[in-house]
Amino acid sequence: MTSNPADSHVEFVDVHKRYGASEPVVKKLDLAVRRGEFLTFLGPSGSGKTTTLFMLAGFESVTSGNIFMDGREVQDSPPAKRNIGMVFQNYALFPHMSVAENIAFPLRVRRLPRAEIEDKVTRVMERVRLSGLGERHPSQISGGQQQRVALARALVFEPKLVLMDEPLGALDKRLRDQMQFEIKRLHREFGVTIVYVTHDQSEAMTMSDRIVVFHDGTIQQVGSPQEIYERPQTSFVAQFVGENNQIRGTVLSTDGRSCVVDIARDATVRAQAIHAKPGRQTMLAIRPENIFLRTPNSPVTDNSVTAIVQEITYLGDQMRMRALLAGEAEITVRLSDRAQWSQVRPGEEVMLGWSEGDCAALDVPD
Amino acid sequence: MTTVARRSRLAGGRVWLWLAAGLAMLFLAAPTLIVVPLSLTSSRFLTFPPPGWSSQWYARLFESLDWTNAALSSLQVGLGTTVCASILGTCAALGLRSDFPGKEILRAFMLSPLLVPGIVLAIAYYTFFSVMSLQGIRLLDSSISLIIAHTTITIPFVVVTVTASLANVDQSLMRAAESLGASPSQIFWRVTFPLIRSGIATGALFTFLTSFDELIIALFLSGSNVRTLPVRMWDGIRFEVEPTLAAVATLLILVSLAVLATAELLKKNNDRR
Repeated sequence: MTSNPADSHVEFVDVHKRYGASEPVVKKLDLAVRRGEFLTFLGPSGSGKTTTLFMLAGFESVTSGNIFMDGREVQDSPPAKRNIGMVFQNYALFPHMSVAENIAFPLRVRRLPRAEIEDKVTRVMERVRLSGLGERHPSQISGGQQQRVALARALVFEPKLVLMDEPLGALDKRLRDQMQFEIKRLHREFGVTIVYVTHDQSEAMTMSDRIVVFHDGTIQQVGSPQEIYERPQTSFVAQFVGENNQIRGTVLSTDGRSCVVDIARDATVRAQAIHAKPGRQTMLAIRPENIFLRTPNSPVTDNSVTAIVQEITYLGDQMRMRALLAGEAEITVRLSDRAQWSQVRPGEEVMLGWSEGDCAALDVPD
Repeated sequence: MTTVARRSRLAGGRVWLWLAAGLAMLFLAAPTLIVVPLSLTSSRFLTFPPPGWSSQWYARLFESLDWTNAALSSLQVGLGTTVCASILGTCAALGLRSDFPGKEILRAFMLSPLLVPGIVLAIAYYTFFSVMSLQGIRLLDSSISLIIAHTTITIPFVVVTVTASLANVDQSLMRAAESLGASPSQIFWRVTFPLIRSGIATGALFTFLTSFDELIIALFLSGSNVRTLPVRMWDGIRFEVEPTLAAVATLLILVSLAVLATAELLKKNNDRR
């Protein structure tokens, strides 16, 4: 089995994973990780993202398929031989060793000379801003500092690939934001490839070059944060990342990249045909900020549908409106234009519009 | 009732509590502790209270070849048992970490010597080694047979204490060590062992104590070559009842106390970390 090295650091080729005879946890995974990128595996628990990370690390076996690193097959080699740095969810710092000893561990295990070890440890501690804490034990430092020790330990032996399994889950919001920034900085400074697992979509959006969205053991979509957010390819992705309105409908016709969808009696809209076949059901996805309140003066939009206002919520920087679209579909609209805020009242009938490009006709989830 | 009144009422109740507890402890300890004054008697007989005080019986002990040989036998068997049981028990505890079919049955089997009456084990071992010597392997009346038998009954202690220690060693620690490039032996010696050291030590101490004090199996497997201290004392009680026995008993109590104290110190040291 050959791979296409080119720019890919890691390649998953037709990887499957199942435990015994039960349902597979990872199905037909094909993925190329680019050298030097920050790639995030995003998905809910049980989606297969952590299992895939562990297969890459070597802690889970591959039921079938191949994993290549720099063109070499690695799915059968033990974790200790893969030379991959890893940061675990609970940091897994050795409690009986000091901070400096923890960080020195991978170097001692490789039997480097003591002077070299001391030098590397000191330098990496400076870079993660831990200088001076070398003699403390893990139980004597804060959660954020423990996180940095785990990072330092994973980076000190200069691996080309670093895996992170939801490392920021145990931290409070402020610390989490701070550490996200730190990790991104270290990513740039060290120039390593990072594969990061999280279920937090805002974390994924903040940190990643590309996001891989996992659901039920398969990859739903791979793309930059912008692509994932603005051009979701499946209903799951549209729903999981950012806020989303889902409107069921029947496809009336398709025309190249667009389609016409019937959403309610006498209401048809135009949308991007991602998953649309004439005569079949589809689920439209449109984000709240892309829907506008139409007034007689506003420019013409591709779509225009009546709706009854149900509820209005004032949030300071925006006004959120819940409305019943065409008498059938419940949607949420974000009104950013302050001028319009006084124009809507619950119970009123309004005209909502959006452009075809912001609306995707996607698969119907079971 | 006011707080002051309640406190003094409790204090009064406390006195009775202490008194009752003290009497209970005395009741439990007295039969054992009675050997101490008996060992220092000036009389030739084990009479209580002693008519006078003398340390002659301790002197006799250290001069007697018989007794010192017995002590050396006990020490030899004790140390041999400790080494074997510690190694095997630790391996068993490590092995019982992973999940496999029949794991709980195997664990119950490893702990079963604790449930079998000593006399049953003694007869079983005697028979076993007798059969072996008929085949030409003469192990009766040797330290080896005793070490084997004692190891069997003490492995459960080590398994229990090491398993308890292992509960503190997160599996993710070993995974982390593996991801950092450590080989299985490096993982064991640098990560696992330092964290279970106190568990192994505690198990080892109780193993030594158990083997040192063990009488029934030793009686059956002893002979002219190997006679442990408890066996010698047993013979002493039946044939020559002297205060020397009380002196040995006192020394054994001191050894037990020393072992327990060491175990406690280890526990305190571990808790502090």
